[in-house]
Amino acid sequence: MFTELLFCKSKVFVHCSSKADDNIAGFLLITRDAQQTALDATLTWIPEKELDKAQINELMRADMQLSSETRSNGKSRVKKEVILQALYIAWAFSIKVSSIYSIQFRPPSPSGWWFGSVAINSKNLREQDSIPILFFHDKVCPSTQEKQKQLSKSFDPFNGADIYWGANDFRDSLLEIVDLKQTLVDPTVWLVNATMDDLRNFSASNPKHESQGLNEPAAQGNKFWDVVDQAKWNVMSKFADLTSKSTNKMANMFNQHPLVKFVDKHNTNPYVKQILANPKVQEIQDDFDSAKIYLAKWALGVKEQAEKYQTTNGLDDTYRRLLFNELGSDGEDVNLTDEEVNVAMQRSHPLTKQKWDSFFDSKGRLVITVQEVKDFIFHGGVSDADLRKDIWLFLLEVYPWDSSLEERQILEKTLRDSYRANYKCKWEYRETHSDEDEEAYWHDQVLRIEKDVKRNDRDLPLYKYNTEDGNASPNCQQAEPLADDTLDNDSWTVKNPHLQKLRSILLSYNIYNNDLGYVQGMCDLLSPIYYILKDEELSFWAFVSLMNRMERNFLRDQSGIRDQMLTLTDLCQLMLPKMSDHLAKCDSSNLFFCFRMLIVWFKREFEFGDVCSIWEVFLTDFYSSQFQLFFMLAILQKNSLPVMQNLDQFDQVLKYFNELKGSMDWSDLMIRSELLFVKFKKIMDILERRSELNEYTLLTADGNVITETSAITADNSSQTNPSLATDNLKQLLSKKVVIQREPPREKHSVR
Amino acid sequence: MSSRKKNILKVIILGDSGVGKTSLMHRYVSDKFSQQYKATIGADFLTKEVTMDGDKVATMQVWDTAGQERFQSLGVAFYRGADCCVLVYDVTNAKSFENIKSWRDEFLVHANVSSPDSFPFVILGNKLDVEESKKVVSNRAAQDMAKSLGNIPLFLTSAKGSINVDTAFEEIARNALQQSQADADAFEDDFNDAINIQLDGEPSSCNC
Repeated sequence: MFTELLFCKSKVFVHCSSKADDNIAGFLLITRDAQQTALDATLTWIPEKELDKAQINELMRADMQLSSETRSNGKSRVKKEVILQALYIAWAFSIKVSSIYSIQFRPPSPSGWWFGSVAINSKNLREQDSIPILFFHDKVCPSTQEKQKQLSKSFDPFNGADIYWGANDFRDSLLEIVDLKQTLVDPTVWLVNATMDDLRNFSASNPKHESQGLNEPAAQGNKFWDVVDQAKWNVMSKFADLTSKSTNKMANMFNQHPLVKFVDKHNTNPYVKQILANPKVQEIQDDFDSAKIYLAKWALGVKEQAEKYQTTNGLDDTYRRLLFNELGSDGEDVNLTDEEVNVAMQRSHPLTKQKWDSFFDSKGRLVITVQEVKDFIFHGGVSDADLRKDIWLFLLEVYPWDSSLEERQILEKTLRDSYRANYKCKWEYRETHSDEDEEAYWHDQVLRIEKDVKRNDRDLPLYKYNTEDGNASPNCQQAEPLADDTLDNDSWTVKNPHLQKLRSILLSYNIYNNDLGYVQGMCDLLSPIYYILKDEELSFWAFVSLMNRMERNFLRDQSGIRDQMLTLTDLCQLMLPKMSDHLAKCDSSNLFFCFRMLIVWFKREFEFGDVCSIWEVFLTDFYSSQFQLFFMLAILQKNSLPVMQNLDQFDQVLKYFNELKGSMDWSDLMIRSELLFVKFKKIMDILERRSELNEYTLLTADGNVITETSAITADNSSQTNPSLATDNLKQLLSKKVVIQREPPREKHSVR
Repeated sequence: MSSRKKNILKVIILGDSGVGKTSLMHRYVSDKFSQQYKATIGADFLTKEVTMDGDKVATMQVWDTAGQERFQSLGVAFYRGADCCVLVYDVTNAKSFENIKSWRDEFLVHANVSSPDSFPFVILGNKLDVEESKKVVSNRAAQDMAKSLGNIPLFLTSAKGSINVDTAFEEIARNALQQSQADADAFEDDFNDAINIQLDGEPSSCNC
């Protein structure tokens, strides 16, 4: 019986004592049976002396073949008994790759004083004792020698990459099987399928990245100025052109601006110097009302660049201090701990395919808790689009978290059949309704859906070209995908297959949820789902699940979205009282300017890829099922200073927030969202305790219970008032999805 | 009332979804047209400096809105203080034309204007550039409708072909300016009235 050989290295030694004579040569192997998952792969070390001549020759051949560049020619395999006997031989071992906790790779000394070695740490302490340190004798290993020869031909002394040695091949093979993460604390130590906590512990104090080239800041600087020149200054100068030319008034305003003063203090920051020295600053003049918005945004932009400069230069501490300062500056005085800030700041470990696979056993059943998986997604996101397809099907509850692979395959078939038979069929083969109004209603729905499908995300390649294969037609110029003259009236037909599928899914959803009807924004919600899954039937069910929680945003009476805006008002009052007061002065306490961001979950404000990253965080319900409100709060918090200092009218505030589109850093906002939630929870706990204190029970002598309101209410400052903890806010602590449904549609309501 | 109000003319564009509200706004304000506008969600505005009758300068604030009816109930916040309302239909879409009246009524219900009878509206029939065979709203029907709603000015436009857009917005600006001045006058009257009432009321309150 054979097993597949994934990795093989000859001349891997165990040093039994300090004497060279006691060294035992052997083979290090990674094997896996057919049908087994990556998790079941086995790591084995077996001494040469226990093998017969034929076996040794075979393994030597496999070593050469596996380490050569062109190893695609056929799989290597080895007799299973070779692996099994390792269990009974002194010094030999055979362990599951998944039971390894960490591996330390200690490279050989360049001068050859000592051999390179690998120390393997198992999660299992008993197993740990059986694993010796492995030494790679590169000089006598043919495959390593061969590779060194090849590499030296293309040797680049300035490449800066690791020196090649035998264990590199071992590490490369492991990388294909498991999630292997280098720790920042000790770069020689790599963690295998690390938990989120391990990642936090081993990389919390983030040192500078050594690989950062010297000329990088300069390159960034140029790029920054390109952006500024193209975007901000264009807008600013346009405003200047519109208005009469007065002298250096605007330049003075800039220099007087508190934020400019703030960054001006940071003399070491070259960006600030450059900005203030820029002659364009002098050109900007204004007595025009709306330019205030741009002034405010400009100031924020300067600040953001200063922050970015500090983070990219390894000044994590500065960013940390900034978060501490900014998030503690308004509202209830509750401190964030270092650990809380660390946890929120640690967003650099996206889920990889290897890591995701390590969550499942050979039956495809989850082996860790759902909350652990969600911790990974919440704090790191997903590394690539293909993987997103799998993960979103779970996040959107198309697949139950506790299902096995087989159960999912059965379920998938059922769902596909059901979509076609119960929903798609109903409109594809629709008969004219006997009721005239109902007939008119349906046709109106179809028109509405088509109208929005035709203008959905047409800037994305998938939806761009209205051709039958979705590609640019050869005789049509690439730059003008919509050059066809007839396109802007409603009579053109959708030919792009992906747009057609969006249409089909939305029509089917109309059958599925007949009461709600199509509402603008729903196409925005479907678009990313379909983009990721690229599968009509599964996208339908994923959309059904997303709409389950989003239906409240689209109700005819708008009560669901209004509820969220009221909750946000409460939240803002509790967490950002100064901002809240200021918005009230601007006639903006209804937070209408948040409407677009909330209704389609920031789809219009961010780049498509960022939208996917933001949504998958929301979909985890990790802290709260309404985390979108904390993200919105983070946007308010981040912009509170410029808004409070510059804006005083409803229309200015609306304009300011509408224009944030395309300029926000979602990752920074997500860190703030998490910290705001942590802070919120602490404040709610305090308020809860206070209200318990305020309302205490007195037991009288005869046993009657008297409820009294305490006299503590004398201390009635707004911030300590327990009544701030409204029911709306209490609900934010829940992870249970809030569901609000459209009531049955009245027969004649067409709208 | 601040001087700010006097300088800004607030214009609201309403109409069914897809009739071209966003396109008209962009054509007028920045003389641009794109095929890639998405369905408007929420509300947004652009501003443009206008000069009327040679010397009067004002800033026109053009508000673009979502076409779906159910969003109106939340969006009324920005109706307030409007100086003119632009009702848009699509000449290739009969239903969008039939809905013009309900958009007007909707506006009057929510905008809380001082004198609904004299509040200025302008109707735009958009997408004039499309081929004749696709047009379903006749000029005659449009004129009749404009007349029946109280002699509302009517313009047939094309945001795409840049037809009649500037002319229409000049009319809109003129109407908005008139309305703005009328409102300012009314406010002063109200203000004076309020003082008078108080003076008149004083003796009577002493009587009781």
